[in-house]
Amino acid sequence: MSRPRPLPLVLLGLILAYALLVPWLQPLDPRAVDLSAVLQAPSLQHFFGTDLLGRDVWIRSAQGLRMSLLLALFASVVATVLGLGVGLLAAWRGGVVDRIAMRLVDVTNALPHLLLAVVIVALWRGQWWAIVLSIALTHWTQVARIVRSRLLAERTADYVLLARASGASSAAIWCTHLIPAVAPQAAIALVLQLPHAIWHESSLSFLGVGLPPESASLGLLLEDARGGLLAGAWWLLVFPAGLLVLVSWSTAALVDTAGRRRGRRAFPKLFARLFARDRATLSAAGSATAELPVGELQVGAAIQTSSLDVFLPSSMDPGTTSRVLRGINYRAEAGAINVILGASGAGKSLLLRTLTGLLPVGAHFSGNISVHGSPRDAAGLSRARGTETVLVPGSATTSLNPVRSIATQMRQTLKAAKRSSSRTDVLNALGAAAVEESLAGRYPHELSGGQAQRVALGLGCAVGARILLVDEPTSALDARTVELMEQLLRAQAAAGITIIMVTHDLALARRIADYVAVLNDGEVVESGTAAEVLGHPQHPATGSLLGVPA
Amino acid sequence: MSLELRGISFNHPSAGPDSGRLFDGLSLSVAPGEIVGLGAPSGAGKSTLLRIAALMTPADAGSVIIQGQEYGPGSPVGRHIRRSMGVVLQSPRAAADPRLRLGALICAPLSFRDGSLRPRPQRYERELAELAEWVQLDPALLWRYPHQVSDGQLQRAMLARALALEPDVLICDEPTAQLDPGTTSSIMGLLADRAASGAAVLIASHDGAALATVAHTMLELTQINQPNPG
Repeated sequence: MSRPRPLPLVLLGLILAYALLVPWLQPLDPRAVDLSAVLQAPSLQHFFGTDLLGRDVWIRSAQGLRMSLLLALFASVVATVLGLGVGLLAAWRGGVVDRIAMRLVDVTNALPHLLLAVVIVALWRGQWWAIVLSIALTHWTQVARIVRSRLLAERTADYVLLARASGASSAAIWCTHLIPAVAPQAAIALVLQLPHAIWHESSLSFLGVGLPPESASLGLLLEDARGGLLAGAWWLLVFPAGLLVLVSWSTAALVDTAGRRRGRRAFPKLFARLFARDRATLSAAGSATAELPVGELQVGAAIQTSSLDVFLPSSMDPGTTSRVLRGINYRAEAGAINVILGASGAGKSLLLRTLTGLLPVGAHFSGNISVHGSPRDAAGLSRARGTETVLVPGSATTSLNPVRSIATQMRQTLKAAKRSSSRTDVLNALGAAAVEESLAGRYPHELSGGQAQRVALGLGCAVGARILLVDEPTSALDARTVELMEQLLRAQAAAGITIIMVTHDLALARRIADYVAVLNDGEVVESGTAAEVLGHPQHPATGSLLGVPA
Repeated sequence: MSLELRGISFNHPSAGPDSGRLFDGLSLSVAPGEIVGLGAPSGAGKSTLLRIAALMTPADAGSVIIQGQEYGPGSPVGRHIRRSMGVVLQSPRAAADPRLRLGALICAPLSFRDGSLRPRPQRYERELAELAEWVQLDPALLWRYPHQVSDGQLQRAMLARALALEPDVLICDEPTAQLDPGTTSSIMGLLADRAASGAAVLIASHDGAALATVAHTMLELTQINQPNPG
């Protein structure tokens, strides 16, 4: 999560303080004309100089900024409420209502905004609410679109369907699931409107159809500056215009960081991120795999950790972290199938995510992790992902890109790994993971859970990394398909790929594992060759997993 | 209550006319107190069939009969019927709203039944403690968000949610896929208890051995329903 950048935040704070404090501390009657002090250049007495009527520009700018901000805030709130209403109505009623609402959006977008605003303001000359209305009526469309499309996507989400299937009323579904889903977007849209509205207000005032000339807004000040400029009074233009630019930039920059913080839902899209990264590190991927001769059995540890502790942010108290993995000394043998067993919640998936640099936001680790013999920090593990390591996550249905067909995702993955991606290659790569040709054209939501798992594993293998970390590859598969997965994993291992697999399937582990480690409550309680650990369990936790006394 | 599927036909919208139907005239029934286990090769349509049975996905043709009441494609389903059905979906990640804590997710059906518009975990502390114990979920996890727990923990939370209203029809899609053998057998025991108190239970699982320990009837969705095998 990126924190709000300090510069725009500080700048916006200063601007707000200026706009609010200066008019209050240094009251200035806008009608007070001092012809003895006309058009003075900036000095210690008048920081921003004086205007054509001898008024202090420093104070006038503050008054103007305050008025512009107020109008913009009002206009943004009205526009957001309007857009939210139309968007909600369109998504909720659907059908004719939706079509009418969306055509209304199109029509409004097609009208020249400034012209429409001028007409509205001209009808109620000099009224502040006319300006608010004119801006709101031309700016609600974007919010309506965002809200509607987000709601349409959420409405068919599994958790909404499940709530409906268990008898939740429409009102409850809206209040519990849908409104909270769009609220952050609407808030961001609101702030995004601000600079827009400020500029609009300034344009109107500059054209002389805004506020009455004796009041102050940034647009009015700019209009005043026209006369002064010819007399060489640059300060009349530079200071109000500078404020306009500063306030727009700092709000936009703030929203930009806020927009990137909407990360909570990004977690299931890990897989998409994983492959997106591959694209960014194209050349690195190519060279990294090229250096290692394929098929040569590597001796030693592919991944080794010593006294690895992983801390997750505590859910009760956001400021603190709790140690979830404790003192992990783990060694994954190169070119072998390393299986990690453990009860549900023991920390198996977390370990895989730590090793691939995919720790959740706010989590961190201490201790040493080395990949192929060289020690890595968190950034190093992230860099290795997609080139040296690849993670195939457990929840395959939510990890595939929902808007691309299976074949397209495989082609992208092959391309990213600099491998040939003809139609035959794509089908072969899918076929290797027992994905039938008839499924290639389908989208992820048209796959069953087991099919999605096979696709995910196929994509993971296609990356061509030397270390394949697999989380529960067979949890939704029938016995026959598990066998195919087994063959695929064995073939990978035979080609020198290191496999680290988390599974609950003991029978599978017995058949396939070269080395086994058992995780219990965040600690490795036992590890060794498969024969040792599965044949002669030493620790009670292993015994209870295997169903035999240790 | 009893659950019956009669003459269900279904096809994926984009599967194309030549690929044939996923189901064509499929029928099955679950009597009160009975556990029917559904096994099938991957991709045969277990999840789709369960969604049809849970009245979440309308079939192309055929009807779902719950307690003698027939629901065809598109017929309205009363809220009291839905509240007597518990549903566990295959992927707990997709089935859990990422913005709600586990406690809120589990007590949502209770809150909605009692007329709240938002889940109110603080009002159902006793029920939550009991449900968490049933599914062997550490009560401390009730305060976590879905992204802070493992798949197995989340699936048990979703099972607790399905059990919250003590449903008379229970439909579970791979309820134990993410669980270790020990937890699996106790969850299966929990489902058996539910059946013993008169519920009709339909479970799909690839883990035939675990299923066979509790199921009264085992059905295999075979390739017969797919005219285009392989």
